[in-house]
Amino acid sequence: MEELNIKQLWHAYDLKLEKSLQLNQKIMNELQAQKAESNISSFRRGQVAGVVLGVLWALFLVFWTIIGHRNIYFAGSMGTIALFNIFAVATYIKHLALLDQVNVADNITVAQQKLATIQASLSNSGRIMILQTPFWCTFWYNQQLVDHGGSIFWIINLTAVALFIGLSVYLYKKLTYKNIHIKWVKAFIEGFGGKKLIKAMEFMNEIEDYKMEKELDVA
Amino acid sequence: MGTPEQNQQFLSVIEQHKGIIYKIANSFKKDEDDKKDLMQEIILQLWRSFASYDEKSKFSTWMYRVALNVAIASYRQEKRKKELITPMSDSIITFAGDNDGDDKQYELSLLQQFINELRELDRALILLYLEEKTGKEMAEILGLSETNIRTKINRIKEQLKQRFSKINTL
Repeated sequence: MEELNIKQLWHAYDLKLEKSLQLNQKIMNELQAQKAESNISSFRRGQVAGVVLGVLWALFLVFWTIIGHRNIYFAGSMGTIALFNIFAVATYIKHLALLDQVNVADNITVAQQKLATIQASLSNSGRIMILQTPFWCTFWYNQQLVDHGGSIFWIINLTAVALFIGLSVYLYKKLTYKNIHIKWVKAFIEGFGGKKLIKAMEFMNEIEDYKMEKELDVA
Repeated sequence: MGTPEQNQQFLSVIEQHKGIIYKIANSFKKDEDDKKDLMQEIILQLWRSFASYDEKSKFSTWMYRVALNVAIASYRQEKRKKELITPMSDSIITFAGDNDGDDKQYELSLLQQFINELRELDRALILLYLEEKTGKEMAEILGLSETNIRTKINRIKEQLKQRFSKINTL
């Protein structure tokens, strides 16, 4: 089909739509009034609920850190876990604020690139939570255990902790988009809700390609 | 909620440009419910940014930017964002005509199908081209250079041509 035909076809479609499209006044009015606002609010409420739950969880961890401050092993482990969680909540809030700043009236490549970057960064920041795993193996230590645990107990425990440190650092380094070509990494990221990250990263690459595409004039 | 004047003004610009919204929703969604949701989401975003519309740029440029940004972003979402959508059984824009089964209608549905199969950015670009936007306007909407736009349009047109010729040889 030649160019002119495609345009003619589209023009005919335009004429047809012009005659037949009707705007539903009732929905428009409701959309302009409070209904739209309350729906936006319900979406915001979901985000706020997420932040509140995150803050409560972080406060709960801080609370236990303070309560158990006499046991250096408990306080150290719980305090570190709390820091990881505070970081995660702060990152989530920061990203929500950034999402709010994206101007939907910006040009397409700029706005979509911003959106995809924020989505990718938001999904990616959850990765840091993996690093808190070893501290869940040490929070129950106490001075009595340290003094009288015995060598076999410590060999087993420290081996477990070392394994968790090694595993969490390995996963933290490996579970990135640049390793998405590795089957288990892809399955792992997808399994933990990282599909959005993959989509966002793929789209970012697509935009880059789109902008960089060689400017060869075929005509 | 805006002033009654703003409400009225917005209503009249949407009435005037409803075809754009309808065509974009048709090109980005296949499912009827998804189309309905997308049209509503586009109008909602237009309404939200209406107050900040800068009259230095053409109204249609601003409208295409908002509508295409919403369409492309929604295309990447796995699930419908039900929270954002007013749950209505009716569509905000309805097609009241009949889809007669003539050749033109068949060709048009093929063209729409082929546009639907393009990448999101290509889809946005060909829509603007078919809407007779100038190279400068397309460049402003997409944030690309005019030369780049020209190259891409030629490539997409070639793609569409090939798809049509494959159908014709069957």
